[in-house]
Amino acid sequence: MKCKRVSRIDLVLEGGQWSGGDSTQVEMIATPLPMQPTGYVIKSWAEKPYGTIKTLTVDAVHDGHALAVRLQWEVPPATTTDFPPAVAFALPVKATSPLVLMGMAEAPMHILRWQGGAQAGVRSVLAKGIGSSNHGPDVGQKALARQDGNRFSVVITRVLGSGAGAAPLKAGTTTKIGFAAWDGGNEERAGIKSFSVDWLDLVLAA
Amino acid sequence: MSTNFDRRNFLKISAGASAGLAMHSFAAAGGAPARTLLGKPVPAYTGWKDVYRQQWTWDKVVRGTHITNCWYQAHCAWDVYVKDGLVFREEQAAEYEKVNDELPDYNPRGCNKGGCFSERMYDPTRVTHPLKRVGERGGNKWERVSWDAALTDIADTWLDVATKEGTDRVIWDIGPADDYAQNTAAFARISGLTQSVLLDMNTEIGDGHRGALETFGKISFESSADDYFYSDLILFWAGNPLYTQIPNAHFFTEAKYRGAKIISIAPDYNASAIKADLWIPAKPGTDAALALGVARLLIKDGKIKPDFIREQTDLVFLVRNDTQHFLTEADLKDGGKATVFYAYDEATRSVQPMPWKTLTLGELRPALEHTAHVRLKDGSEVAVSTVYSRMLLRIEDYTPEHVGRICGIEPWMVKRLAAEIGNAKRVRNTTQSTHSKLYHGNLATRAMALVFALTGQIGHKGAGFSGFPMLANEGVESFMIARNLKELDEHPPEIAAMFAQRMAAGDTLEQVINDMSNILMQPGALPFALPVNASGTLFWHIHAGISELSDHAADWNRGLKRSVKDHVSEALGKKWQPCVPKPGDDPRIMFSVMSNPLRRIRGNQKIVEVLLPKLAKYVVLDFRMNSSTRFADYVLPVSTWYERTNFKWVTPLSPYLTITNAATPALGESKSDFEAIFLLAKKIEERARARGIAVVRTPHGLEVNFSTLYQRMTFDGTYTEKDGEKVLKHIFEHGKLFGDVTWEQAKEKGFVRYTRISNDFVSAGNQTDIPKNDSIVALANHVQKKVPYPTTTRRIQFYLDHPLYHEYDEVLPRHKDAPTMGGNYPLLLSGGKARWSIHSTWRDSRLMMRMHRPEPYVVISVGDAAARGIKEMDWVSIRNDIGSFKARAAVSPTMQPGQTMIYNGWERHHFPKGGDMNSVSPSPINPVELAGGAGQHLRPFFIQGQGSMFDRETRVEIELAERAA
Amino acid sequence: MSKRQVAMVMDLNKCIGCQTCTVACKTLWTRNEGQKHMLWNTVNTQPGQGTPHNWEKMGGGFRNGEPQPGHRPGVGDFGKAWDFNYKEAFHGGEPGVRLAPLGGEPGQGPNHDEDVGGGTYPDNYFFYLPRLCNHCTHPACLEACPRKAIEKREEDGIVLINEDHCRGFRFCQEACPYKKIYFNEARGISQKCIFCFPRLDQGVANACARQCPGRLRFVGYLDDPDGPIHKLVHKYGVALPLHPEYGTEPNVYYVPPLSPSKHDADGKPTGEMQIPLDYLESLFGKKVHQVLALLIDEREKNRKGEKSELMDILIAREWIKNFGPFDKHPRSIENIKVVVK
Repeated sequence: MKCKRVSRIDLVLEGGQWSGGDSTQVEMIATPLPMQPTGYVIKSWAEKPYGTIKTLTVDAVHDGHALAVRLQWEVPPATTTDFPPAVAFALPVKATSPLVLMGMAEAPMHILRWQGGAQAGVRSVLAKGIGSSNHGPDVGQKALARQDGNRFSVVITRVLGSGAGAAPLKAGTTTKIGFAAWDGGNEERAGIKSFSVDWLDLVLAA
Repeated sequence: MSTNFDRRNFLKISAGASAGLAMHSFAAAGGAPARTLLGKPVPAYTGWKDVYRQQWTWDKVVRGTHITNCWYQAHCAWDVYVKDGLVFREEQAAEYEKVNDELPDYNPRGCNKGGCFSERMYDPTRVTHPLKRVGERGGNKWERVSWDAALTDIADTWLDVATKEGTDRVIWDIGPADDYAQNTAAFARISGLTQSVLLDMNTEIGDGHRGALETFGKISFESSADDYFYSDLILFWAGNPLYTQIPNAHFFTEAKYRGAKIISIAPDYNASAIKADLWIPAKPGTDAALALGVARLLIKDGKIKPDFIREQTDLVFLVRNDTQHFLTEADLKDGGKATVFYAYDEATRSVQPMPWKTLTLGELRPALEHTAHVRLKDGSEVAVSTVYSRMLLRIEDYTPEHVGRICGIEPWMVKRLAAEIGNAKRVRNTTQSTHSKLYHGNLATRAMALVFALTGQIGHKGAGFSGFPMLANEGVESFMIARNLKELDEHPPEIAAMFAQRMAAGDTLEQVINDMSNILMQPGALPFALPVNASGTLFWHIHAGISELSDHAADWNRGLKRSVKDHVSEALGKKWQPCVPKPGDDPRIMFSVMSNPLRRIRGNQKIVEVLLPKLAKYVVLDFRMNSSTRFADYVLPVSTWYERTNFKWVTPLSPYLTITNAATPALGESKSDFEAIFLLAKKIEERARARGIAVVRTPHGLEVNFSTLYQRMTFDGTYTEKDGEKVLKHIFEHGKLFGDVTWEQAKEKGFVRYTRISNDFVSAGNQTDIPKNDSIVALANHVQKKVPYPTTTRRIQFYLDHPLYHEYDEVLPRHKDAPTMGGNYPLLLSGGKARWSIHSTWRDSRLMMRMHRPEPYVVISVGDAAARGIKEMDWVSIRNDIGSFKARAAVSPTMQPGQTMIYNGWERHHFPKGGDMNSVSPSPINPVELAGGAGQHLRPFFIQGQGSMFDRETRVEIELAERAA
Repeated sequence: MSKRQVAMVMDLNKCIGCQTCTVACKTLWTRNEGQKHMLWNTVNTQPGQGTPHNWEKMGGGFRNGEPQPGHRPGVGDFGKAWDFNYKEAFHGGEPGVRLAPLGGEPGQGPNHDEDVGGGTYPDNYFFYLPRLCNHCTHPACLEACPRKAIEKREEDGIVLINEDHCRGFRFCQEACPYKKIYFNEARGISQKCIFCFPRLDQGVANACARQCPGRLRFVGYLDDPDGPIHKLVHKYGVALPLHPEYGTEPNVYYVPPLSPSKHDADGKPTGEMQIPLDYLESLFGKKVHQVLALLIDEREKNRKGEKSELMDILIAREWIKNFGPFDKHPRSIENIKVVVK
């Protein structure tokens, strides 16, 4: 997917043009049940469908200093309010590993994850495998979220650059990007989610 | 809809980040260097476990306790933990030494309320500044005023009232937080020096233990709680001790493991009944019948102890069949004493006087069952019979079948209870104040005492009848009486002489102490100013309109021979009972000191309607807003028990004086009630001098001098408002009740075991030793040392030869059906002390309400609820002839059909408008409780012998109500 | 499996339902943000809905070693911790306004059905059941957590939620068959009884145990042959886990309750205890029959004046001995002395 360069991201956020209708429809699937990290999770979700978010609509722009990614999706009516809606994108720190493994020791992935609810906000997470995610570096991550009934629109931003544990981002380069989304209203959290199966290219315009 | 994010803020930060930070490197995650791209320092965080470790640290810890009336449960030594200048938690000190190798120790002593006073003291009910009413009384509007402004206004009103209307128009309503130490010293002194009136509230609150007074001549006697461990049979009779005696409860469960049987006699299957071996679900108010049925079987089966009866009771005394009065020496000899009584001696086969300086019988062998003829001094011959013979006649009808019908139980259970009691080596009952709250509860207590006396289960280890548990400090009474510093250490000569003379004449110390406390109920009886102790019950009845609730209703099956008004007039006229100020002399100022009468008094709406309009000032001293502060003119903030040093009376159940130390300074402008009363005295003196007021003559012929009040209050500056602790030290050291332990040591340790019973107005009745290494056995001095009882007959007395008892056929114990108090309604409203509060002190604590129920509730049996279409949590209306109130319904299978229950302590403000739980309590006076007269043990003295107020067995109907506001 | 295991025994014959334990825990641990509704220690009347309400029907635990799906209790299940209109009631509200919980109908708190129980008068019955985290040998919570945020301490088997790692996924709440895990909405993490590890680490017994006026709690290592825990659990076998069929192997054990005898129509005792034995069996398993019989026999020995070590332990004459090696006075740690001003 392409990440257009704009003059100022804040102007885009205030209602300016995103990528000129160049949205990417990212197909999502439920994470495989056998790969869930605990017997309890597997057992308790065996009879219950999850991964209800089938498609993410993604747009990305940058202004040379910061990246903004807009993620849009729709969920079925909620059955609980215990868990927040959440969405995340992952970028590789060095090399890529299979997205479904949530990173590996030698190939960590850097995730920016937004969630709504009581602890709303965006968190920088460094993952080196399933169930291993930990605090990630501060990359000035911010989010702007909007909910309209069952439709969500979340913009996550971070600054460009590189640093220990951070996925490097530089204008004019190409990296990989992967996605995950949680339908909190369906009690989705942790590994119970939908994800983009594989990495996509993220091409940052020069 | 935008969620959880401030867009404007976002844009600002986002723009800033993108414009200002072009650095192309980031700090490492979570570690050094501690600067991020955004320049925010990362706070040092040492891990979640340390957060918890940190939570259990403190700056300071002191020993403390709660100076409130937990009564049976009092008192417990706590460690009070302080952090950042606030008390943040408490934990039991739990350092009570073992008494001996056999008895379980007293650790850790405490309860749920004590465990969260640190929460309570800072909760939104706390008062921190003097408040003055704005607008109408009860209007719930306040303004902050200074202590000086409040005290000046109050002092000026006091002087106006004292000079224009009478010194006794100023009333001290002393609540259950009466410590019998520091605050007692203050209000007793100001009462004595101004002849203002202290309301004795013990019988009024329903703790008068009338039946104990009638039988033993006193109410204060109780063994230690560990003594239960020696028992073979423990009777939970008319009480729920595992609910109401939390720190003592383990002695019951442990005694059970030791082999003791427990029998619970209670209408409801309560928290104590569940621990019993046998539960006897008798109907409420039928204990007298059950006890008399048991007594009858014990006699029939030969399970009684004749030697105990001969020596310790009046059952062997002879009564004239013609007059129904005791046969006395005055009947037989010219100049004979009416206080010398007779028995029939089986040894000499003759009528012989009973010894009265001792209980020792010597060669006498008084007959139990006997009828004889004696020649009187005028030569006539009369038939006489023993009290025992009369008792046999009295209880003849109480067959198991008859008793079973009255009590609603199977006859077999009556037999079983009698067999268990008759076969047990050591039997104890548990102290209870249920009977004091029943109109005929005195009869029940007397009947139970009969069971214990017949079987000799009194005054031995593991065996005994429980009265009113109280253990205080005689030193405080010196502050009541002393006119100068010397008299703080020894009795004034007038009083010392009285003691010496009476004891030389053969009276016991206990009897003289009782007489002295009776004198304090007769203002002007001695030619100098003593505190004025007045009957609370009569005060509320006469001055606060409570009598209006019950006087008109002669049809409540009370069997009244005359109107209550007539009875009261007789009692006042014959000086059997005191009412100060006298009827018609309206009270003008009332102070409630840590007292909450608008919550407590049965029929309290009358206080609002009748008493408050008479008052020029109603001043409430408390640390929290409550039912009474809502109607106050001034609320004066009192420091809490963790903000001052103090101690309070305890009980023989746990014979440890327990001291609380100031952990933190008093919050806001609060002051101890001790300090507040001294400052008031100072202000009164200042205003009296400014206004040229000095000596004022009292209605009782004494003189008080307002211009020297503070000077005399403080013994010329020796004990001022700042000397609360000095007062405590004096009280502690006076009488040497604690062996070699110094005040400083006791204060640091927080508790100290008594080494002997204090000879004060409220403790002397215990009549026993306090062994260092064994349990305390109440009444042992009478049973083992043969010291006479303070009754008219000097024995455990079952024959009450007083005109009122003759009038109501209660000379001997009997069962009487409960009156239909409140009208002819189908349900009996009973009550009990709550688990969630000590009286009202914790009742509106949010923590306590969260842990149980946030609204008042009335417990209804499953059947009664179903019959009325009432479900759990419904709002219901509880009503009778007197009034009504609303509460939630709690439907429970534990409740006996026909019985309903509301636990004690709910504040007026817990109830929807229109009434509270006292609104249905007519609280009629039982005429026999107005007894008095010379030579009688039935007369008023400290905490006893005054009329009671009753709230149990109130008749009500319950129905579904509209949802409450 | 940890090297050693601390355990607690609670003698239900001594529990009086006073809730001092609940308060002791509350004031020490759960007065922070998001913890208003938390009572890591609860006491409920059995039979009854318990805390959270109807927890026994919420699933979790293991069957044949397989984890079982469970319900995740919410704040409403635990009982609302109401706020009240104090200011209105005391300062400036309409005269006579009622002090009442805010937020409309209050619903039922954590202990609403106190002293109710079951059966029909006069054959009704109830007893008190104090509960805390069972610090199981086979903790369903630990095994359910996808973040491995729950640890069982090597040195004593205390089960702890690592609050730094917890992300509030609440699988532990579902998996715990005893439903003793709360969720902190404000912090987005799960929290539960920590078995007072800061106290135990310093040789001081748990607050709920040390503050229990009923003296019914024993604390110590299961493998300490001289301690009361070993004797009650293993030597005499009178202390039983609650719902052993849940499969988590709790380390909190209960001495089951005796109760008065029922009466027949003549008022004579039937010999059948007021609490139905099948009900007790449903809570404590089949062993409950022999335990009650043993308690009755040993008590009878004492009644006849014979020695009974079991009764001596349960009587607990010297209270401090209930706590095995955790017998230090809290004030003795950190050198903080009583300060008297």
